[in-house]
Order: sequence, then C-alpha cells, then structure tokens
Amino acid sequence: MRIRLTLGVLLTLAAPLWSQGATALYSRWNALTGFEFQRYGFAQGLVVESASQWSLPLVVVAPLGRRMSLDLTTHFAHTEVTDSAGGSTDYSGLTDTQLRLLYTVGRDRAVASLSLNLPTGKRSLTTTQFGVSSAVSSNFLSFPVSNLGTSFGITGGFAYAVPAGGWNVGLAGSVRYQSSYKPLSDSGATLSYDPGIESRLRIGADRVVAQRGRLLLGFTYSSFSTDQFSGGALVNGTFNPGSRLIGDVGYAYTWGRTTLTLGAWDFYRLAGRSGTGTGAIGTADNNENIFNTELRLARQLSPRVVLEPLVGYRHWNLGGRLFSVGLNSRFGLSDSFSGIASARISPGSVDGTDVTGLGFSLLMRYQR
Amino acid sequence: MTTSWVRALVAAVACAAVAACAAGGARTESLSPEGLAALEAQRAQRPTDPDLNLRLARAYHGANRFADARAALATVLLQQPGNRVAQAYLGFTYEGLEQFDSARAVYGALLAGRPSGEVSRLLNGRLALLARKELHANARAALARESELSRTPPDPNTVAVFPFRYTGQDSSLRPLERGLAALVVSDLSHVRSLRLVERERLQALLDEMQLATSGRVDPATGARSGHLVGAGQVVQGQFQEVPTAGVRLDAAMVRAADAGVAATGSGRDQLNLLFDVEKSVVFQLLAKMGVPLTPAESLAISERPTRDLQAFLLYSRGLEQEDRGDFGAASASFRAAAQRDPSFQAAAQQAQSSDAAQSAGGVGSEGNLAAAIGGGGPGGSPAGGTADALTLAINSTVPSGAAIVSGTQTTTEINLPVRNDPVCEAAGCGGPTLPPPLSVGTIIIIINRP
Repeated sequence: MRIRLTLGVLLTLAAPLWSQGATALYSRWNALTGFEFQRYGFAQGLVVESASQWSLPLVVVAPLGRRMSLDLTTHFAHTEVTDSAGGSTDYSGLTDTQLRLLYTVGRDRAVASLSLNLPTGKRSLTTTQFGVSSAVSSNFLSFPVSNLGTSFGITGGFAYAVPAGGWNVGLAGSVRYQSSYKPLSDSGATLSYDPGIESRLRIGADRVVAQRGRLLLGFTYSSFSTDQFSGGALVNGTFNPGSRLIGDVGYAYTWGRTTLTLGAWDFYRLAGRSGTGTGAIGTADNNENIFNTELRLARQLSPRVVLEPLVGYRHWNLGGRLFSVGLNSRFGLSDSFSGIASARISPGSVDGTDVTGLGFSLLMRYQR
Repeated sequence: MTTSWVRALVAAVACAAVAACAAGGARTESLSPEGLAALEAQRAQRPTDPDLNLRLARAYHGANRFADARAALATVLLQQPGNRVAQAYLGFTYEGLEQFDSARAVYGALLAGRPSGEVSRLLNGRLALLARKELHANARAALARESELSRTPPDPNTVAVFPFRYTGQDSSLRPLERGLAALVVSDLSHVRSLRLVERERLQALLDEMQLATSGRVDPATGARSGHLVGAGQVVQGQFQEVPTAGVRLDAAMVRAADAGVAATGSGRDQLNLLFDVEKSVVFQLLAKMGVPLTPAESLAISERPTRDLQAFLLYSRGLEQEDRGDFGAASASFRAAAQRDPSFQAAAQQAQSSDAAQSAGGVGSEGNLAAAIGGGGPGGSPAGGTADALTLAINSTVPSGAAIVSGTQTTTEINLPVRNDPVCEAAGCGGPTLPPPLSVGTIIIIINRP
C-alpha cells in the first residue's frame, strides 16, 4: 500500500512537468492494457495435456521532468495446467511490478537506468502450484508471464548510442541484484533462495540498406554469479545458471504502403552448474538452443488501419519445433487511443509429441 | 547477502560514474537521405505514430520537403492538437511554403498561449524574420505582376520613401541613406491624410530589383517602384557634405502615375543640425503638395528621435545591417545607439527586435525554438539516428513494458527471451515436457544430500 501511494504521488507530480521541454527517452504519457491468451495443447504421451494462460498487462510510462521518465509494468495472470488424467492445477494473481527510472544523460546518446522489481506478486507457492510455474517456464514455448513473483530486485543500467559510418551503434550494460526469498510455502517452506547477480551486455547496430530497407543486428550476453539456497540443516547448495547469448537480426523493407519484415533470433544457454553442501559440483542439464524466425507483411489499409499477416518457425535443439501462422492488426480509435489485435496458431511437436499453440491478444494503448 | 548488496552498490555507482563521464548534451545531427528513408520505412509500419511523424516532419523540413513535412505534421496534430513542437514546426514549414499568413497565425497562436519570456522573445524574432521573408516574397510577386500593376493607378495618398542617396565622399555617412529615409517615413506617418509604405517593404522591393546599390534614384525608377508597392507618390532624395562641415539635403515627391515631380524640398546647415534640415525638407514637401497639417501633426513631425547625431549614425548603420540580414551586427549597432542616447526609443526597440531575429534566425535556431517551446529539440531524434539504437539497447538490458507501449521497440519487433523464475531454473523446470513439477522440492533436496 505504501509503495502504491508513493507511486501515485510521483505520477501526480509528473503531470505538470510533462508540459515542459524534454530530452527524456520517453517524453510523453503512455499507458497500455488489454488481454493476452496463450494455450498449448499436447497430444497423448506427455503428463501435461495443456498449459494455458491469460493475463492482463498494465504498463504506464510517465515523463518526469525534462530528462527523466518513469515506467511501471505489471500483470494480472491466470495460469492453468491440465494433466492427462483429467486433473488440473492453476494459480492466479498479480505479478511482480517493475518500476524503471530512465535518466537522459545526453539526448539520443546516453541514458542511465535504475529499475526496481517490487515483490507485488505471489512468490511462495505450494509444490503443486510450482508445477504450474514449471510448465510455463519453457523458453521454447515462451508464455507472456513465466512466474508470478520473486523478490525485491534492483537493476542499474546504462546505454550509449553513437553513429559509426552508416551505422547507428547502441551499447548497453546492466547489473541486477535480487534479494533472497522463500519460494515454497508448504513442504519446502524452510527453503531460502538467494539469486546471484546478473550482468547483461548488449551491442546492437542498425543501418539503412538499399534506401528503403533497414537492417538491425544485435548481440546480448548475460552472465550470472552463483545462486545460493539453504533450508536449515537438510538443504544447502548452489546453482550457477550458466551464461546466455542471444543474437538477433532484423530486416525491414518498405515500398508504398507495404512493409516486409524478416526477423530472427537465436538464444543459446550454456549449461549451469549445481553444487551441494558438501562441495560436489555437477553440470545441470539445462544447455539449450532456440532459434526463432518470423516473416511479416504489413499493409496500411487506411491512415488508421494496418494489417499484418505473418508466418514463423521456432526450433529447439532439445527436440521441439513450432510453425506459426498469424495476423496482427494495428488500428487507431481516436486521437489518443489505438489498439493492437493479434491472433496466431502454432502447430508443431515437442519431444516427438504433437503440440498445438493458440494465442490471441487485444492491447489498447493510450498516449497523450 | 551483505556481500551481494555491496557488489550491487559498487556496480550501480560504476554505472552512474560512466553515465556522468559520457554526458554529451544535446547535439544536432544532419539528416542523410538514408536516414530519411529509414524514417519513412518506420512510418510505413506505424503510420499514425505521432512521435515518428514528428521526427519525419523535422527531417522533411531539414531537407526542404515542406509539403511532405506539412502532411506529417497534420498527422501529429490530428492526434495531438496541443503538441506545441509540432505547431512550431508547422510554422517553419509554412514559411518554407511561403504561406506567410498561415505561419503568422501559427506563431500568433503559440504566443497567445502565454509562453515563457524566452519563448516569447524567440517567437517575436521569428515573426520579424517572417515579415522580412514576406516582404521579399511580395516584392518578387509584384515584379512578376508588374505589367498588371502598372495599369492599376496607385492610391495618391500612399507615399513610399526611397533611401536617400549619398553623393559625398565620406563613407562613414553613407548609412544615413537608410536613417534619413526612416526618419522621413516616421515624420510623414504623423500626417493622418497620408498612408506610408514601410521602409522595409520598399527596401525589399529595391533589393529584388537589384537597385539598392545601383544609385538609380531617378523619377522613372521611383514611379515604377510606386506602382509596384501601391504608392501614388514616392519621395526620392540625396544628400552630401558641403564645405565648412555642413550638409545639404534635397528631396522630391514624384508622382507614380506620370513620373512627374509634384514637389521639391531642400535644406542646408551644419551636420550637427541634420535633423533640423530634414524637418525643414519634410515641411517644404508637405506645403508644396498642399497637405494641410494640424498643430498636433506639425508638433509630432518636429520632434527629434534623438539629438545625438552619433547615435543616429549608429542607428542608421543598424538599419543597413538589418537590411543585409546581419541581425547580430544590427543588434549591436542599435544597442550602441541606445546606450549613447537612452531616450532614443526607436534604437532600443530595433535592438530588441534584431536580437530576437538573430536568436530566431541563426544556425539551428528552429530546433532551439522548438526545444524551448516544448522539448522537440534540434532535430530531436535524428532520422534513422541513434534514438532507436539507444532505446533498443536500454530495453534489452533493463527490460520494461515501455518497450511495447512506446512503439519504438525495434523495427523488427523481436521479443527476446528473458530469464525465468530462478528457482524454477535451479530445479530444472523445462516446461511441460519434463516430469511433473511436483518433484521440484525433492530435486533440490536430493541434489544436496551427501
């Protein structure tokens, strides 16, 4: 309650400041909410029959003076997993809230960031509920909300951009600290988990190609210090999640009212390492690689309506693939309100079992 | 735990230090055709995005593609009628399109919003520049329509005053050509039965006719100019120094209709009595033209703007510099004149006006005005520039929903995977394909048993 009150005061204070000149990266009020639904159904052979989730995102961006902006992101999510025996498990609730402050050091050149993860979500689950969390935690399936809550965290970041020849190059780094918490509420209630520090580095570049095209390249590296967990005399150990490397590339080509976009990313996760209280170290079996690509064709039908059919493909080195067909629509409703409607169906397989994904969303955006 | 906090704090301090060192401040970047194309490509994806359209409008404006800029600004203002940066750029764009009335209306509306003193000063400077551009555009238009205008009889009670021609040898006195003309215009403007053409308007015409320095001040030229500015009568004159430190001033009132001389006036006296000579000539012209004067009009004409000839010379130099478009030098001259004679109000006013015009008309001035008005900045986010690279960089390392809201996530709108629940990762959660997650607590326990 106290946090919400403070936030309300901050946002109220921001209002008169908005009218002044600004160099902030986000210099206007924005808000977004809506409805997102994602479901995967599995053919016989897996314990899980389906995993589904609907969520209501809430994002507010507020300029704060000339150089700063404050943004808030949270969700209300409901996740449900059904098993092949006909049982189901679910949980609902608010997720953690990310509160991010951006400070412009140099217009379009440098920005510093301080982000807080406020533990507004439920972080202590029963082992049954934890199973739901596991089902939607797959990087391959990529649910919008992978967990409800963790613990208080703070992230400091800095980004710098510079033109280099025909390229615009962006460099960024961040360091994230997260406090310890108790993730289980029943049989493992004594388990305390202390996540390590996460460091992220990114280099990205973009340039115009052939007058009407734009090419983007990016590479992100994340490394983690060792997580520690303990649960009294019985449980004590460490876990090193393993570094991640993400490469991304995108190309957009526009002619007339039509834009063709080809995007792809590859997520490579090195194997983590687990340690026990006795000092034994083992390699965790979590090495994985996911490749995703998407081709979209956007067509502006009227000044306020854009339709965008798309096809996509995702590959998981541990035995998964998904094909996607979908349609995005962006539309303006009034001077301040616009919407994004999306629908997508994704057939494929996981571990040799057929899977069908279905997703749709309707997001409304307000801007002033 | 304490160690983690310390490490995080050190990292945050390091970030802040790097941020401080990298402070670069605002910088204007020129826009390349490629950059423009990149922005157009982005707009094709988000055609109604006001931010994008504003950036594009600035880019079009910078590339002198004013019609395109106006269309982009229309999109912005349709969604955000109160966007003052867009309004300012609309004014600049109208100027580029030579739609001066529209530009003036836009600036007037911005001034009506009671902006800060600095913004108000810059807007007034912009209006001064606008007036100058308009005068020249009108002069060009008049020259283009000369045959038509020459058939239209001008209003006989409208008077234009040519710069006086200096025929002497002392080049330091040459600026008085403009000063004397301004003085005569000021004097005649006190006569209610006459309408005066602004000195600047006639000067713009002479500039366009390329007569300003040719010395052609014959009656035929005066008559032609009178037709072009709608003046039925034109004052032409000359002056020169005469022996024993005196000055002689001659003037004629020329009818535009037939280039005939309607009246003449002449005076001669010491240079320090120049104003007396000028007043004498004005009264002679009015008397010979049969223009009756009320006592109040006579009194008003008799008043001197200054009694300091040196101040008037500085003021005249300022007029000359202003006509050349050198507002910085003009401002300095006017200020110097006002300093010599604090009661010289015309000099003080012109200093203020030139100073504002200088601020509003220098390199990057449009961006400065836009920035002062509402944060648009000089070019703001350059076309295809670093703004998107910066946004993407920070959003990739410090994720936030703002990436989606702002619509500037990335051209390709790639959603990159983020780290999931750390406990789940430690427990080996891998989605629905792994054994039921009920085992998570057990897994952790098993791992840690010797």
